[in-house]
Amino acid sequence: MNFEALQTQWANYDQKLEANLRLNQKLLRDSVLSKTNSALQRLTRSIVVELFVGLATAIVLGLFIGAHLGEPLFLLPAILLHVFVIFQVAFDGYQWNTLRNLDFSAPIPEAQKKLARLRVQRIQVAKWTLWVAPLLWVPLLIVSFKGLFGLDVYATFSTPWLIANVLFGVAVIPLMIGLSRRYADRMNRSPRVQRLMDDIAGRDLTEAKAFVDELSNFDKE
Amino acid sequence: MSLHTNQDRLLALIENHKGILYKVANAYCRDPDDRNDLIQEIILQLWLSFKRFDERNKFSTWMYRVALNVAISFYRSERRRVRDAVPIEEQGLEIAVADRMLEDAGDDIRTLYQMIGRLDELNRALILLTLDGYSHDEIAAIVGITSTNVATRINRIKQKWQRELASSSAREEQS
Repeated sequence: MNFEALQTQWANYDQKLEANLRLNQKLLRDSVLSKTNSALQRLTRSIVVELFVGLATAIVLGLFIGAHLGEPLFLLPAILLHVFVIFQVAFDGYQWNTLRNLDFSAPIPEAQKKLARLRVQRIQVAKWTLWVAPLLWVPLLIVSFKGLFGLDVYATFSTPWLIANVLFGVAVIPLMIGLSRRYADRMNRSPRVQRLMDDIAGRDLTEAKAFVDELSNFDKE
Repeated sequence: MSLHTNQDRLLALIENHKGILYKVANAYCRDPDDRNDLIQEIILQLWLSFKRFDERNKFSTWMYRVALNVAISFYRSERRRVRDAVPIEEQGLEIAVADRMLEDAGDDIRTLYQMIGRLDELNRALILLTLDGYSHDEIAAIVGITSTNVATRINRIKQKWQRELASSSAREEQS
């Protein structure tokens, strides 16, 4: 058996496939196209809600900053949170817009490079978000207590307690990385958890970067 | 043009090339549920991209490009979209019929699908188009790489497959 013989068999099979395969156009229009379109609208709505919540948080933090300009103990944690939230909102908006405008009828290396680069960016941002999140716990505590209940955390809790919390946040980071590297392959988990653990461990990032390189070689060779 | 007229036009065009849906899905997904999801994803992207289709081009080559782009990204599990799960029997494409045809097509076609499945996702696209009888120039236009690049890659795959086929024949003769 050689390639040409296989190609001939494939052509025969293809002819039979086209002749016998049935496409129910009415069913397809009623089910797939209408349902997928409505699902897409729901997805867009959920992203819009996500962006709206992020923007609302950024505005509330902005108001908090404005009200505490002369109080660096409250101003600095609020600025940290504000920068974090604005970056997340901007990045979510950018990813959504890029994906929405992605042209699947573009040449394969071009479309796949865009997707692969988006993936690299998403993983990098997810990784850094997860690494930075434990450090933001104390600023969040300070700002939310002050903003929601008018409580001064510095006065309510002792300085050693606050320092211990910051140090705990720092200690959690290597612990998280270590655990995700050790157990990412072993745990029976949902795809979402798997993606989260792979993001922390940096596995997906290596794989995604390798695919960008592969696409570049595919293009050039 | 109205939404329904456009959908009817697209569905009529897909009807003439429905085999592409099955072949691409079968080349990129072995799991029946994934294959079903992939076909839905391809149809959705065909619909979303249809406004970009230039009537001066051949629909089959445009459809192949969209289908392959979706399949590669789906295969890499990046864009698994949250959507309504449409049961296989409601999908509109009789996959079970195609599966039975594949069973009846004989060992060579099944072996061919297995060999395609062992290629990386980019080379799978090239070989599917070659098997469908597209020339190197046409493949280059669909995929978006040079014709020389296509020829080099196809030759490498052919040589690799010839070696594999020869060694499997030798094993069969021995046993």
